[in-house]
Amino acid sequence: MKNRPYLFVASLLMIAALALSACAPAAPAASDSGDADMMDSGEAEEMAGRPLPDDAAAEQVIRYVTRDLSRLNPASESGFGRPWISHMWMPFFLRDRNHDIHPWLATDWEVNDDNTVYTIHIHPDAAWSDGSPVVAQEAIDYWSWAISPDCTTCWAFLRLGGIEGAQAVVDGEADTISGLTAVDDKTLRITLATPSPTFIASMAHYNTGFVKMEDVNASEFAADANTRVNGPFQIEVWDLDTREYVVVQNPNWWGDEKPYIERIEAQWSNDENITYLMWQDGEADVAHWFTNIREPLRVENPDLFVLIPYATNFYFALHGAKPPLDDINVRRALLHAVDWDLAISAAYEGSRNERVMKTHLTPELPCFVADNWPDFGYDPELAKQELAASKYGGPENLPKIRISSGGQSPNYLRTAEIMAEQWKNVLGITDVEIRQGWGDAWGQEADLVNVQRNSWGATIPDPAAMISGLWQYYRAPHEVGLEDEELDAMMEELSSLDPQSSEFCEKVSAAENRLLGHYYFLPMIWDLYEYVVQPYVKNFDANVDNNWSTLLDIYVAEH
Amino acid sequence: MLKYAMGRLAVAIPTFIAVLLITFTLTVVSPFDPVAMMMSQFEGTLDTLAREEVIERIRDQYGLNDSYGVQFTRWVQRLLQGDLGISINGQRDVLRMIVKTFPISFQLGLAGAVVTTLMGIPLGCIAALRQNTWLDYTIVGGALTFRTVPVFVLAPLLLVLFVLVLGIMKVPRGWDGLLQTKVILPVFILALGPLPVVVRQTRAAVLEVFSMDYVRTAKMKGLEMWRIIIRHILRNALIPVVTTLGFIAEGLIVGSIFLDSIFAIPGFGGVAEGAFRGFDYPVIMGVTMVSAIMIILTNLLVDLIYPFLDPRIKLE
Repeated sequence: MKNRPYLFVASLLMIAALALSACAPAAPAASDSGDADMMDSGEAEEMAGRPLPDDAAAEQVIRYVTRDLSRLNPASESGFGRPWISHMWMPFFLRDRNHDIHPWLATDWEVNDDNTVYTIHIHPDAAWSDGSPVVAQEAIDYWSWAISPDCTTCWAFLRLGGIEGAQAVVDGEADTISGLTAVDDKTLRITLATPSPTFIASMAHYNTGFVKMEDVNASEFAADANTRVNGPFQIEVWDLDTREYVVVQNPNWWGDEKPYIERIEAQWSNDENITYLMWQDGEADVAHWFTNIREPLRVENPDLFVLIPYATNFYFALHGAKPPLDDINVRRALLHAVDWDLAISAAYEGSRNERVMKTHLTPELPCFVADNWPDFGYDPELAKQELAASKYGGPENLPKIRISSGGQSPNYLRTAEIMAEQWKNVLGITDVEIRQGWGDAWGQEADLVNVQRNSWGATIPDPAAMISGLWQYYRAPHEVGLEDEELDAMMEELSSLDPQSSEFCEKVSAAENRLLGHYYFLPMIWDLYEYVVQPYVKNFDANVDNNWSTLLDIYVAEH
Repeated sequence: MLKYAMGRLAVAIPTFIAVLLITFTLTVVSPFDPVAMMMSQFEGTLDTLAREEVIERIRDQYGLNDSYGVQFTRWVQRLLQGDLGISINGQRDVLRMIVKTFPISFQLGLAGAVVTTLMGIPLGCIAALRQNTWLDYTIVGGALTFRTVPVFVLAPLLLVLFVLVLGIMKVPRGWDGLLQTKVILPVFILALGPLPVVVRQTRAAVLEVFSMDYVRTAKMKGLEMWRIIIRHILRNALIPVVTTLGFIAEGLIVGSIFLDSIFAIPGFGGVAEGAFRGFDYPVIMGVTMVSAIMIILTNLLVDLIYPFLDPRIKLE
């Protein structure tokens, strides 16, 4: 051995490498070997029972690239698995781009006069991929687990928490949601704890799709190829460890209209440059989450962008209980001293010029009124007068303004810096400090932060819920501490209004207008995300939940 | 030797425990909240009220609202049972994540180390034999240039060249085993990192040995140059290089964070990157533990190998 030292070292390394190679996961099938697994187009047509359009490609495969992909579980899905989750575990209804609700797993629903009891009729043909029928009791069983403490990192309780007896399950005091009753196999009765005319919107949310409980094997349940589905697609492989994600048609889907797409191959890409390279090289059909490249790409070819109709606000909340923002005149002055169009254009480098936040309700939401905040705008003279009229009298007596940019995005920081600069130029305010991050960035001074960057969104596009949620949050003393008894009454009324009624939008707008009159925030943007879709992917559309809501009709044309 | 090895391991145990204790303490006292960071993907799509409610509930589920003592005791108890916990971000078993990803990184790292060796030693040797010529400057300068370009710049540039300009490959993604063409580029880029170290160390060692009496004697005896290089120069010059390679391999195995991300390789580096980015402390603890073990074992292995390479050294 003494004469063969290198041989010894080499042998040692080789043995270790072989041992670890044996432990490595088996090499998965390469994506471009998928041809062997796939049917030819004739077979696909036969199985699907739906002839392909004339211009369709022989292979109906979508290659999707996104930033992250997580475990699949309707009760915990948070973002990047959303495109098809409603097409695997179908919620009772499905939303389209305009937020209209369509029959999906259920055919229809009824509600009693006081909006407390909903009766949902499951489609008589609805069946799992193993052929067993979908029955109402399965929704009860899964939902009861999904909101219980046993379901780790689940948030289905946000959708189901209003059902009678749900809170006891959330608290671990009961096993089953008492307000759910299986009238028969295909009829589910839902009794709410308090009246809600908009509850049915939750039944169109992907969080309320349900998995057969026999397939839920752990508190950290993650669906795999063995998990039965009741929708038109099922998992071929969803492996977070090897980062392989393939969804294929469910050959046993019960619906009349089969999808064209046979297979969706999802790829994870945490590097935008690589995503763009794949896009340019024709290796991606649909991409999500471009940031820096988004605007140049949009300028070059705006038709590629399919906007997701989110209802998203980004803004700086002004704490009305903390000096100097305890005086509404100061808050008004801070708003009017900034040229918001210019500020947002500079902070977002021109990418959000059309999206400067001018109301809480976004243009994508029902009841949107573009000029519902009449005082909004840049008016330096008015700003000076307002500051002078405040109890502080002018900039010299103003206590320090501490801004927390909330998060690491340079856009937030730039907006804050521009605000501070304009306050200095217009109002002479100089005692302003900005820190990047949340309150924790301020350490001991966290309680003194009086301007906090925040966001507000609505996964359920209910304008009344959005406005009243904001009010509920910002009247809390530790947040903004707003007080307004009249607004309390208006918000109370909103929760009982039927969204279909003629007065609904009028009352929502009135409540929003009064809320905006408190000047409790400085606007940034109504943000909007999108899918970037190659032109040969036809009929592509998305709803507010990121779902590819038209997935049944999407096909890949010859290209 | 066994006694020496056991002694070294015994000394390593307190170091190992100290590393874990410090890491755990830093993660728990840190102001960053892993659940809040995970929920940042909800930014703008969920109202803040609901988001805070969810965060609080998940913190409870993971015991993050418990005191430091309770959390540490629970973590140690689980560790003793071979349970590294559940990833907060990915809701997956941490041990399983490491077991599935480490062999991939091990193979990649080892392949990178082999390529570094195969390129670095000959280049270092040539640079020494052509000392202070344009070839010497080109080799040393070239290796340093590649080293100074960060991986996250170099990799996309090479991809633009090979994929878009030359059109000779698709963007290599994922992992289908070591013997696949898609591995060539990541391994090559991985190997470039420590290449200057090997080149320069080989060059310096060869220059030193080149002036030794026994090399001069070999030349005077009329031996062919390649024989002198292989039998007399390299054999002695490479002792420090080979020991360095151990540390290089260890670094390549646990340090390929950017490559995993760029090439979507499901490796250990990607697990580490995701954990640190999301402040996913059960995974951070697992990653730290494995890295610490790797460093301790590599040190020990190098020490054990050294006497075989240099008979003048004895283990005591």
